Order: sequence, then C-alpha cells, then structure tokens
Amino acid sequence: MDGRGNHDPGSRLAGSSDSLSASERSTSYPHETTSSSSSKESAGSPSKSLCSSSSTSSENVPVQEMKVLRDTTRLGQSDEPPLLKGEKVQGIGKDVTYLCPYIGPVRGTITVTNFKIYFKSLDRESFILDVPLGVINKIEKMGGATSRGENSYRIDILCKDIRNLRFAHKQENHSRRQVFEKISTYAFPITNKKQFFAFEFTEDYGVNGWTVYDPMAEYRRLGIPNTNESWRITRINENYELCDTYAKILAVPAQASDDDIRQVATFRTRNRFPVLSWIHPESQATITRSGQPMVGVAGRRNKDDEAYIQLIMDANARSHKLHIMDARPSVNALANKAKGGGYENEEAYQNAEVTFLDIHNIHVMRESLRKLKDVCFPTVDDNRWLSNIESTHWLEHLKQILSGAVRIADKLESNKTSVLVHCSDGWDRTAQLTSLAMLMLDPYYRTVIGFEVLVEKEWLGFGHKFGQRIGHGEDKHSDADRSPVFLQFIDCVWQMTNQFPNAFEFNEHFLITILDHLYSCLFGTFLYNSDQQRTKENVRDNTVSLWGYINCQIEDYYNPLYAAYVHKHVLFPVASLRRIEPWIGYYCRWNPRMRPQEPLHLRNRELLILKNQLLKKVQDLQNELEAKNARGALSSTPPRISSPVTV
Amino acid sequence: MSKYFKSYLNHSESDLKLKKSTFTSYIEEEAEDNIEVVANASAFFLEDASPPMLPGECLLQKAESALKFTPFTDRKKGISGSLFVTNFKISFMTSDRSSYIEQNKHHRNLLLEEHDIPLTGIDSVYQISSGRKKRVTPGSVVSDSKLLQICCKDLQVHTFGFSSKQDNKKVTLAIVQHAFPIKANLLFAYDYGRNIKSEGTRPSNVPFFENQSDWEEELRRQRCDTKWWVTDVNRNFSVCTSLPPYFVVPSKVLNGDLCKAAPQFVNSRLPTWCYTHRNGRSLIRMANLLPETSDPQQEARLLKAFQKADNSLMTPAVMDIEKLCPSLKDVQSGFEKLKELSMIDNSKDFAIQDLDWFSALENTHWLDMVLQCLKASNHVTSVLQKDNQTVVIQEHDSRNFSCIVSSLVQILLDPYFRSKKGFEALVQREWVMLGHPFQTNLGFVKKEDTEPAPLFLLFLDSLWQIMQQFPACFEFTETYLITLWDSTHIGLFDTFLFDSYYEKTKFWSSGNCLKRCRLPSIWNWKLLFCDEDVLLFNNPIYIIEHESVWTRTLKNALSSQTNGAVCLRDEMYAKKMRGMYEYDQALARVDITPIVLTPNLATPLIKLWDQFYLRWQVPAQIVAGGNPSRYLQQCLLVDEIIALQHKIESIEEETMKTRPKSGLIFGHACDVPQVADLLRLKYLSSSFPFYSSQTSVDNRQYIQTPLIVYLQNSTIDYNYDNCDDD
Repeated sequence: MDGRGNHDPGSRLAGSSDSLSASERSTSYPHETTSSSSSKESAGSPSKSLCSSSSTSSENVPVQEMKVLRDTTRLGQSDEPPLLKGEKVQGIGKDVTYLCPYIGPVRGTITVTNFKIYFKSLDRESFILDVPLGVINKIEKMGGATSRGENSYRIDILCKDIRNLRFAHKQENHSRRQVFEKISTYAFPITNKKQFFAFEFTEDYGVNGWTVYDPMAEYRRLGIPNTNESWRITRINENYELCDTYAKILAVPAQASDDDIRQVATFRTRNRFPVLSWIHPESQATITRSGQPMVGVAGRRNKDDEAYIQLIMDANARSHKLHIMDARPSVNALANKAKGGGYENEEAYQNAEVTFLDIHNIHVMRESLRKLKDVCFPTVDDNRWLSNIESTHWLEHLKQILSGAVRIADKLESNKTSVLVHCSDGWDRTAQLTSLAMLMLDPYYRTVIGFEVLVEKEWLGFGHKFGQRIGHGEDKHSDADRSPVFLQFIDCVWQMTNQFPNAFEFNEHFLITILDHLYSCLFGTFLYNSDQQRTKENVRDNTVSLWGYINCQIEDYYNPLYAAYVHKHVLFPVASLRRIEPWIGYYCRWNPRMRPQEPLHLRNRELLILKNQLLKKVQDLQNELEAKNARGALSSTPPRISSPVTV
Repeated sequence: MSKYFKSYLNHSESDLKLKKSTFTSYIEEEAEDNIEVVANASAFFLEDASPPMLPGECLLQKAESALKFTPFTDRKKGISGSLFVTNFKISFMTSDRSSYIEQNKHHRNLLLEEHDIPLTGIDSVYQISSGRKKRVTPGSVVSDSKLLQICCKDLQVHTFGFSSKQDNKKVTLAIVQHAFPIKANLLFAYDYGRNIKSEGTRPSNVPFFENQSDWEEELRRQRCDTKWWVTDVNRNFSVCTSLPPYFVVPSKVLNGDLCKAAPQFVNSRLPTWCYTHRNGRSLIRMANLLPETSDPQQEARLLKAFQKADNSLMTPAVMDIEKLCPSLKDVQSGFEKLKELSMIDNSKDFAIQDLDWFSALENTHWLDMVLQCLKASNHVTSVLQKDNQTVVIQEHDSRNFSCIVSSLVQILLDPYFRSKKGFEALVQREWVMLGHPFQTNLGFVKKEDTEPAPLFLLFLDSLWQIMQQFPACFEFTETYLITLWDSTHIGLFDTFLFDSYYEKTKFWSSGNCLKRCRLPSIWNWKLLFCDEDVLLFNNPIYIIEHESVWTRTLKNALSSQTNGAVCLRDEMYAKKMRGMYEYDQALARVDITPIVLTPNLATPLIKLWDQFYLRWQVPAQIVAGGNPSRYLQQCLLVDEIIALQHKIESIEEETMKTRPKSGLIFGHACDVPQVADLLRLKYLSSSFPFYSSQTSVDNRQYIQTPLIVYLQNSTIDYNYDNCDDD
C-alpha cells in the first residue's frame, strides 16, 4: 500500500483514459507510436479505413492506456487501482462492460474512489480507463428492469472534457445502483455537502506552486511603484471590502485617492472599478479593466468616474486619447442599460472612444461548445467535417476574440494609446481580451512561469468565476452560469502557438494539462469563484497548486523550438478563419484515428536534447583541455599557450 | 567565402527600392479617367530601358507610364514603370533601376526579373472597367479600359493600370494573342531551343530514363533485374507514341509478344513495370483493354507473366483506379473553385470570403480529392506489402491518375524516393517518360475539347500531406514542392513541356538538320537559382535522421537525458521515467522511422496546404510566424548540432578546422558584414521565401524581428580569425 500511496497523479490522470495530450504521449513513447503505426497499416487501406475504427488487438487501444499498464505492472500485478495520497476506494463493480466508441464493448471491473473512476479490462490486457470524477458533468441511469437488448442497462456519463462514457451493468449483479451512488456522491461533493478531493490530496512535489505568483513582484516587474510614478499600489481592497471579486492588491492611477476610488466603485457593476492590468514598458500606455458603468436608461453620469478615466488617460503622456473596448456587441451593451448598466457616453468622457468588439455572451459560447462536442465526439462525419465545424461557430467566436485582442494590442503598440476593457461584469470576455492582448504584447507571459502568472493575475485575481463557469462539484449540469470561457481562452492561446511555433516556451501538452486540471479538482488552483472565497476556504494551505505539479517537471512542458531571443516583439496573430483551425489534439483526442503518425514536436525535442548534450560535451572537453594546459604551463617554461582551440 | 542569405526564391523588392518608386493614387475607380501617375522616380528612369532578353526573345509591345498595383491596397498603392510584352514574358520595369544593377541580381530567379510573368504562367487575363471584370480570351473583343489583371498559375494576381487606354488595348491584345497558343510550335520554347547554344550541363545525378541503361540501373537498384528486362520494342515509337522508347516488362515476355498484345489495349498502351518491393511483389501500370478487343487472352497472358516474374502463387490484383480516384472533370472544377478562394486581391473580398471559409473550402472538394488519391495509394501499398500480392493499377490510357498513385505508392514503400534525387528520378520516370500529358494538363497549349487538369498539383498536395505526417522522412521541403510547381510554368524546360517523350523527340527535330532544338531540364536547378537558394530545399531533420553518426549520438543523448531529468521528481516518477527510457534504448533509434509509411487518413488531418494556397494572401500572412519560423528554428538547431559535433572532433583530434557547412540556409556561419546588413532588412513571414509584404514595411518593422537576430544567438563560438593561429 505504501508504494501505491506514493504514486504520481499525472500518470493516472494522463494514463487515465486518454486524458494526456498527444504530445506527452508520443514524447514518452516514440517507439509505441511508430510500432502501432506500422501495425495499423491495414486500417489505412481505403476500403476499410473508415469503418474499421478498430476491431482487434491492442493496436487500437490508445497508447497511454498501455502506459498505465506498465506503471501498474511495475507496481505488481494488481487489479486494484494505484491510489494518490489521500485517495480511498469507495466501491467496486465487477463484471461491468465499458462501451468504448472505438473498440466496442470491453468487460472489466470498475472501481470508484473519492477521486476517480478506474476501469480495468479483464480480457483486454492493456485496457485501462482512468477518469477523475471532476470531469463529470452529468450521470444518468439508462434502461430499466424491462429494457431489452445487450448493454442497455447502463450508466451514462457526460464529461466536461468532450467525451461521454457508457458502462453497461448486468441487472442480476445489482451493481449499478451502488456504482451510481458512489459516483454521484464523490463527483458532486458540493451538492452532497462534502469537501473537494483537493483538500484530501496531500502530495508534496517539492515545489510550492502557491508562490509562483507574487502580485507585488509582478507590479514591480511592470515598474510600479519604482520607475513609473503615474501608478501606485493600493491596499484599499485588503479585506475584499470594496470589491469582493477583486484581489487584495491592486494598481490604480497615482493621482486617484482611495476616496476617489470608493466613489468610482459605486458607479461600476459590482464595484469593479477600473484597475491596471499591464503597462507598456516604453510608451507607458496601459491596459485597464473594469465592470460596465451604471449608466442605465436615464443615462446617469458620475463625475468621479469621469475624472478617474481622465487620470488613466493622463497617466500616459504620449497620448491624449483613451480607447474603451467594450467586448460586447453594441446591441447587448445597449440592452444592458435596461438593467442599470450600459457603456460610457463619449460626450461625458472627453477624449474617450468607445468601440464594441462584438463578442457574444457566455450562453452563446456554451451552446457553441455543445455543438462542437457533437461534431467531434465520438467520431467525425468525414464528408461534412469542415462545414460541421463551421456550423458550430466555435472558430468564428475564437476569431472574434483574437481580433479584439489584436485591436487592443495594436492600440497600445502602434498608437501608444491606453485601453480600458470591459464587458458587463468584466470577468469573462474582459479576462479573455486582456490576457490575450498581454500575451501578444509581453514575451514574459509566453514563458511557462509567465503564463502561470498571467492566469493567476488576470483570471484568478480579477475574479473569473471558475467555480460557477465549470460547475466544480455540483450536479447542476444545465446551470446557465456554466460556460467554456476559460477553455476558449486556452484555445485562443493554442491558435497563437500554432501561428507562432517558436514564440512560446510552453507546448501543447502544457495547455492540455491545464485544461485537464481545470476540471479534475485535484488541485486547489481553479476552485471557487474569487480570491476572497479561496482565502476563506484556506485553499493555499490546504490544497496543492497545479503550478507545483507542473513546475516540478517543467521540462516536459517546454517547446523545443522556443526562440526567446527573437520574440521580444509584439505578436499579431492573424484573426482570419484561414489561419484558425480546429484544435484536433484537444477536441478529437479520444479518437485513436486522430493521432498523428510521427509527431513533429518529438523530432524537435530530440534535436534540442542532442544539442544540449553536445554542448555539454564541448564544455567538458574544453575544461579538460584547460586543466591540461594549466598543468603544462606550470611545468614547462614557455608562457605561450599553444592551444589549438579557441574557446 | 560563401555568401549566405543573399537571396531567396522570388523574393520581392528591397526596402530601398520601395522608398524610391512607390506612388500613392487616391483616385477611386469611378474616376478612372483621371488616373495620374504620381511618380517621383522618373529621374531614375532610363529612356532606352528594355527588359533583358533571352536568346530568341523579341519585344512585341510596350506601354510606358504603367502602374503595377500592390495587392490588397484597393489599387491605391503600387509602383510605376513601363510594361513590356515579349514572346516569352510580360515584363514590368520600374522606374527605379536599383534592382537591375548587376550586384542586386540575386533577388530572384535567374531567368526572370522580379516583375516578370512568363506567358506560359498566365492562367487568365481580365480587363476591369467601372468595377466590372471581363475575361479576355483570344478572339474576344478587347475594350477600352485602363486596368488589366493577369491571374497566374502560381495563384498570383497582378493588376496593372495604364495612363492611356490605347496602351492597355495594344498590350492586352499582344498578351492574349501570345499567351494561349493553339499549336505547340507557337510556344516560345521553340524559338528559345533553336537559339540557345547548349542546353546547359545536365544534372549528373538524376537519371532521365531516356536510354536503356537508366532503366537497367533502376532494376538493379531494386534487385529485380533477373526477373524483369528493359524492352526496346518501342524504340521507334512504332508500338505506342505515349510510351518511352524503353520500358520494363517481365523477362519472359519478348518483343514479339508485346507487339501482339499492344493492339488490344487503349492507344496500344502496353503494361509497364513500376516498382518491385523488397518482398518481391511488383507494381504495374496497365491501360484498359479495348472493348472491341479481338484477343482478350492477351491480358490474362500478361498477368500470368507478371505473376511468374514475381514468383508468386497469387494472381496479381488488378485495381481499377478510376473507381478509386476522382474524375478529371472533378479535379478541374474543384481546382477552379479553389482558385477563386485563393486568388483574392482585395481586403473586402478577403473579409467576405472569411465568413464561410470552411464551407467554401469543403465545397471545392479539393481536400476530398487529395484524400481519395492518398487512400487509393494506401490501399495499393497495403495489398502489395502486407497481402504480398502483385498489383496492377488499371486506368483508361494509364497516363493520368496512374502517375499519381504509382508515384505515391513508391514514395510510401521506398525511402529512396523520399530523397531529392530519388524523387526527381521518380517524377522523371512515372510522369515525364511514361507520358503524362503535361502540355495539355498544365495548359501550355489550348487544345480542343480538353481543359487543363492540375493532376501534378494534386500529386504534390497529396505528397505534402504525407510530409506533414512524417516530417523527418523527406530530404526536401515544402518550399521545394512549391518551387517545382512554379517552375513547371516557366516553359523553358523540356521536362514538363510535352505530352509525351515522342513529342519531345519531334520537337528536337524541329530545328534544322545541323542543329537540333534542345532545352534544359528542370532538374538542373542551378539554371534557375543560385546555390544559396537551393539550400531552401533541404530539410534539416532529415539530415539528422539519416546520418548514422547522429542517430548514435542521439541515442546517447536520450539515455543520459534520463539521468539528468529525474532530480526534481519524486521516486515514483523517477521510476516511471527510467522505465520509459530503458525501453527507448532497447530499440535502435534508426528503426523508429518506419521504412514503409502509412499516413493516417482521417479527414480532419488532411489540411489545406497553406504555404502554397495562401502565400500571396497578404491579410493571411503571419508576420514572424507560420511554418517558415519552425523551419528556421530547426535549421538553427541542426546547424548548431553539426558545428558542435565538429568542434568535439577538432578538440579530440587537436586540429583546427573551420566551421563546416551544414547545407542549410539558416546557420550561424554568417559573419560577413554585408550579409548581416542584408539580413537586417529581411523579415520572416508565413509566406517566406515567396513573398514578403511590401505594403506596410514601415509599421511592421518594430513588430518584426529581422532575420539576423535569429542567427546571433549561437551557443558556440567559432572564431575564424584564429584559424591561422598556430
């Protein structure tokens, strides 16, 4: 038990199922990739390839499933699942059939723990399914006592990570009820008044992820308060009393007093007054973000708010203008007036220009992802793949978001003008826009650590409601507050990495790992809706941070083609559907047919390893040589060192 | 001293020139009559300027004070100059002469200036007046308008404006009359061939299969020269005019048998051997039997002979590839639609097109057709290699899709054809010599009842898809494939100019009896590009993959990586990592690259070849990104690996060597000052090396990184000055 208790969670999650990205899979198992490719040749024949999504042999079993097997084999031939620290088996169902959409029914044993579902096949040696309960969106019993047909008495599980799982039970075994209840209990801890597994998980990675983001250090990096006198740090929200969805430490124009800020806050939705996100190191142009102004149908004005906006403008001496980017379509912004919100009236805000970026709301995005899942899972319609993708509008939404972020970045970079971004509350579309614009403008955020900082600061710090948007631990699968806002952001980042293959330090595996743990509830990072709530639950002390897990094996997440030294510049991705593609490595990753034969990144990684190896050897040889020469210089008199090599 | 980085294929104007001769025209289209050339560069203009001419080339028409509009500027920007039409090309000479100075010659293609369009490369000609586009064809009325648009087969769109409608009219007429000949002997190649002194040295390493020995050599290479032989039955083209004088049949089949069998097949097209795999099974191309055949037993007899030659118990599998591949008509109409998508020249259409890009792309069915060709090839490969069965691919006259399928199958089966030499030999054999009707399909000569069908492009596109999935298996790059397609349209090389070898020999004799008409071969890339440009064809990861010294070093590197990587992980993780790499080491690294390639043919993995189809689409260009930046980074890594290895050797042997050349365009060995200066002005975009945006260089400069910066980060220090030190 001891050995198992110490197991690495990544291998499981990953091995899980298929939750590992294509990248890591192939990175670790080049031989498997190829061996399976050569054994798969029959699948390539034109007549069979389409229908034979699998039939026999282990070749069709997703590669990582074999990986888990190897792990478990190493741990002794056990049918019991490897457990994490703090993980306990809650129930076991024998003689259950997993209805795999690719290889057909698989008989085996299902184990439910307080963290995951673990299914191991009896007849297929290598088949293991390992799914964190956190990904479960909805669980249903299908078929009743009277239903006929094989495998019709089932549990169907709809997952947040673009897949569904179906387990058929035998009626006579009476296993279904127990399994169903155990899963419902542990998959939805909030509904059941229980704790997230993250609070029971006690692994120590030797790297403390909670220290990755230090707000003071980040503001210092931006030059506040030292080099930039126009901005200051305020502790006005130390106890979350002014704005309960903002972090404690905020940066505001130096000229605005805390009293001014209190006044401004009254005029902004949920007191989300404009605060600093980023400052241009040369022009001092800034990105600030806020909630919408409480204009209402009456067209209310607030002198303090107007003066404050002027201060933001004045803080940038290079420009006498301020762009206010309202993420919403103008119709929506207008409609918000009826609810007391709205947007800045250009007459009231001198020198400010309001632009609407036409990004749709969370409900539209949720619907779009639902359609995308239908198109991508379990299999794709080969004849209508592209038009099906188009009909989901997912890529169109990405284009809209990316082009909005490009406009913001362009205003700062080309016009040296400051930009204020808001939508309605300023925690969904606003977070997408500011963080993407910052990624375009500042190469620091394109590093692994920098990206972690970006997520901490722009998403967690400014109150993106992860708890509600993902629906952590709750069984309200049709909750209207759920929406794939963060997934959409990560997809946009992937689109950027795809357009700029050597501008990012991290790889696709990094992005997929973040998404997997967005749902897994293994780490405290994404739990709850705001800094305030996380402080109240003491998440920092009681859970492990995702960044600790990632940073302790950081080289797995490096992009071998990263050329830090050239990308000190702004990146302007092309926001055209010609350059935005469906992220097959994520949305279609459960489908074994969608895996590349010989992934390029593996080759690149090898090159980098080879180079570093040779570099080390050269250094060793040179050191050796120097030592030799030094000895020679001591013993022989001629001072002239005849080193054949120039160092 | 080698001069790196001076030139890139078809690279556009230097920044210097931009400043001198750009003009800005603020005239709306409605006010066409008022177009004024606001050229400030007339001082640079030399009155007697005329474009450099090739042997046999002559001037047909000329229009002074013409404009060449920059794409995607709504015809508000461009350069001014004069337009010349010769019997070979359309040549636009800008007022600024700086690019014509000898030392600036390196800016492009050695045979064409940067604004030249060979007449054979013209797809269609349009006149634009009052915002309406009207296609002009030979014989159609040429109206009075001031705008002329030339759409090219490389998917570029050129728009010219004229100050006089008269100029436009006469230039347009000249172009239309000469760009679409209805007879082969009207092609400029005939004038050229008669007038050049020699066709240049032939590339020594590519076999042309014009003589018996090249075929015999290939049979020996494939170790099947005892079972198959090179027949000379067609040496006078007496049997079939679409077959070469020499081709391969089973050694048991004699010339007499062939003469008897030939009349039973469409166009007397006899079956020909293509390839014999290591398992002894062969690939054969065969035409359909004539429906009214008098002796259907001939086919069976030949099939038996194939079976015997392969020593097989199974009869060969005969596959009707017309059923597996798209039809010629589909390819034509699909490509027409695809051209509409990729030949946009203004931002408005670009934005409109973006709205339903995916369904429009799907509607072309181009990717479907690529997929069909790949599936057919995969299928043939699998029957031949896994089912151990000899395959006969059958098609009407075996000259169209047979070329695609047989080439792809050989590329999938045999790594030799993934090398540059092997690939060129393959195209030479399967396409050129076995009679793919290039002249018709590339549209060199307008023929009655037949439309051009870009089958060769379909083949290159299919090959590109395979290259995407097996990036380390090909010696050449996608830039090579694109350049090959572009070069087919220059019309000066005999490789792609004819419908068959027979026609080529007719062409040779079209000269007088003392002097045969000869043309150079396309495989002689030195005629088109300077040495540095040719480096763009080299794939860096192929170099590492295919040198045994690297595979050994790589294995060592991977194994020691294991030890270095574990320190941060807990014990379990370390165990896992070790397990992984132990497994790695057990396998020889070389074997990881499969010999036989099986591409994954799931629809979502078949993608639009963006560097090809989007390269001229300025709004879709990724500045400082795209595939070229991946390529560049790989080149740098490999270049550095080679240099490091070399340095280790020189330390160990205690000798001093200069840094070796890596054979890659991007390397750290650029320390010549003027090269560095040039690079400082160069930027990378997704369209590299074909296009660098000229419109907004000024505001792009600060967001782009000059190429030179990429190269200044070498981790190794190679100091040439110390070479002489003792």
